[in-house]
Amino acid sequence: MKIAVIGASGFVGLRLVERLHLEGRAEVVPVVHAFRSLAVLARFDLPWRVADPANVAALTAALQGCDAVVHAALGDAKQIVTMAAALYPAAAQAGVKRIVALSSAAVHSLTPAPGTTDSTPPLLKQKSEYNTAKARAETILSAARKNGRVELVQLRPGIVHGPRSRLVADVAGQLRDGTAWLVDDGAGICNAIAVDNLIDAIWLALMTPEADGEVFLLNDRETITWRDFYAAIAGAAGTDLRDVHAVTPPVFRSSPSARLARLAATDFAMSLMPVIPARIKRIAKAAAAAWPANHPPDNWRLPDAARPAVHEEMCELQSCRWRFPIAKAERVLGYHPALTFDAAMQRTGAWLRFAGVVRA
Amino acid sequence: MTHFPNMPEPVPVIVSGCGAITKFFYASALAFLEEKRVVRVAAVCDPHEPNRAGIAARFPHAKSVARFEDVPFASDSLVVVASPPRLHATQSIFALEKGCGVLCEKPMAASLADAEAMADAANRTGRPLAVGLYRRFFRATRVIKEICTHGTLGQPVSFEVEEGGAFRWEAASDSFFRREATPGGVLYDTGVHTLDLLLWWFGEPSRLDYHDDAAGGQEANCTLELGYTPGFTGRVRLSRDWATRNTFRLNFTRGSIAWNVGQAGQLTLSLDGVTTVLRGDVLPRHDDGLTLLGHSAGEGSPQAFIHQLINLADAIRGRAALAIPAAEGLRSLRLIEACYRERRAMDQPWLSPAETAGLARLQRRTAA
Repeated sequence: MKIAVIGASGFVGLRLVERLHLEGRAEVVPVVHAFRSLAVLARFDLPWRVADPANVAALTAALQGCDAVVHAALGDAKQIVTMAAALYPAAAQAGVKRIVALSSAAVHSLTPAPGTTDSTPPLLKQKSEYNTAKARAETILSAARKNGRVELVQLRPGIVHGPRSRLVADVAGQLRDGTAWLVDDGAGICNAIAVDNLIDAIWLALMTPEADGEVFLLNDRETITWRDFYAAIAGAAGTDLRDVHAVTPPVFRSSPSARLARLAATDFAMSLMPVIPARIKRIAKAAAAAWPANHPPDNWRLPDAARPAVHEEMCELQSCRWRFPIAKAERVLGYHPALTFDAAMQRTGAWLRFAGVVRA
Repeated sequence: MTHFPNMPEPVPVIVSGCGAITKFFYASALAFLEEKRVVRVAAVCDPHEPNRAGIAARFPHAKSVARFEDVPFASDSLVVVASPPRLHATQSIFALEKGCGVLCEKPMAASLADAEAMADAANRTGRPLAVGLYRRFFRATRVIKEICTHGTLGQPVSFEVEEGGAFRWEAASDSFFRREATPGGVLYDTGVHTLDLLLWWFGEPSRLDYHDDAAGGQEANCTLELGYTPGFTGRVRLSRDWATRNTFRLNFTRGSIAWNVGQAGQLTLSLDGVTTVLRGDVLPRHDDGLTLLGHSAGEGSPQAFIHQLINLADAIRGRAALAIPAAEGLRSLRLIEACYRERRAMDQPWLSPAETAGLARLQRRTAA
């Protein structure tokens, strides 16, 4: 079986290529958007292809000869939507039989309503542009499946952790620097899933005929709080949670330029843009940029100890109170997370030392 | 202050290879030196038309050719060989035999044998062959060389080097990542600079222990332990996978030096008996023995590229010795080939048993 992996240089894509290739499960064709993205993949002698995943013709060429495709490409909000729009027609034209697309549990927002399940529709209007885009991408692909012949499985993993996880490396760095922080003492639910459990789920999604047309929420076996998550990273990094800051989420206000950018990105504003004179646009941008965001620094003080940088998205994530169920994935895919959270974190710790994020 | 040689006529320059290194470094350095009438770009050559057109547009008076054989060589030209490494030897030897001076981008060649043939050609023709190890033109690396040479901080005790990060170089094709075109990964790429500096400062090691993570392709991570006859050791960690500290830490009997890669004009010093560290600019010394007026603005990689072109232009006109002749380029290649010969697999303990078995199988196949 020949499997294309779009986004093969990303966190999940790269791990998928490693697993498929090293375990000899399938012939794997990494697809990346730029030559520079081959740097780590080039450890292996693989028939990689370089293509813009938002370009139907280029992606069709890249998928030629493949039986299935896994879409794991990262991007900004706009790219997420354009890549989703290109994926289905490209797969169809290339003769691919099945698509496994990595969506995200964030389609239900970072603070999902209790009772949310796989059958809960994605939230198409969210504060986060990224989450909204993931929801839109899912909808685009589902609609395409209704009118097309290529099989489609969409996966909604939670917080993916493991070797090469940026989140894990960042938290390890914050723990080392004394800037790590937790909301509500870390009591919120972290819907964690080890990247290797996710790879197992992707494999099942590729191989299970009944999965066609379905979406699946995915988690590890255990219910993990954010405190558990940070404690495990601290353990892997050889430290503890003593210096973690307890944080009460502040009221977040966007800067004027961020608000302007968000407004300008709406479909309505985009439709108006061509008729607004360039001079007016320039003045509006300059005014927003010049708006003082903070008070100027006061030199008459001693340097502060390291302070946490609290940001809105992580505050919301840590405020989650709902554990996504995986009953449907268990029933339809036969997904039973093989790796325990502790075992997964041991692997992550080994990688943190390998990469020099923490000292051996 | 930089001295610009008073050339009767600008030295004609031929650029072979219009990929990323030319686009981001050589083109701007050459444009500046054209303005100063030190050089004049006579021809640009690259089979890839879009790349060539981009460089040719910056030098509209230069001839633009696809094939190296079609370049109009004039003796005493300066040829910048910035093509893929497998072409370095052929093109450099051809240019030397035409009477030109050559600045060959690193790595000097695709193999030590090719590099030795290039050095032989330079000796035979008497023409200068320089290697683009531009970090040797940094003020900071020169100071470290002086400290090592004069024993200013005592004898070396140990060193630790971490260099690299997620690969961001705008490679113009995948030839950079294919073993048949480019024989090595991060050691062969970034490592050429790293090892060159260590060889320049400390000389040849007497033993080495090398590990990397290649499995049928090019390594993205490697570690190298080096031992030296006077009894000190060093450790090098290179990566094009994940961010490292990008720091050289050199320990001597009377103090330590920390140098951040890419900071051409800054160093951090730790001196025995001093409870704080000194971090600052490396500046030229003034007549009073101190620099109170100077500043380090404008000293970085771009200036190093300009300095190496000036050095070769001077050498072509017989006004200066080459700062980094071919023999110096051979040293790091020799050490890299020794590393690949002694290569062992890096431990990757997060892999499952099935993956580890697969990895070993691929590595055995590659070794065979």
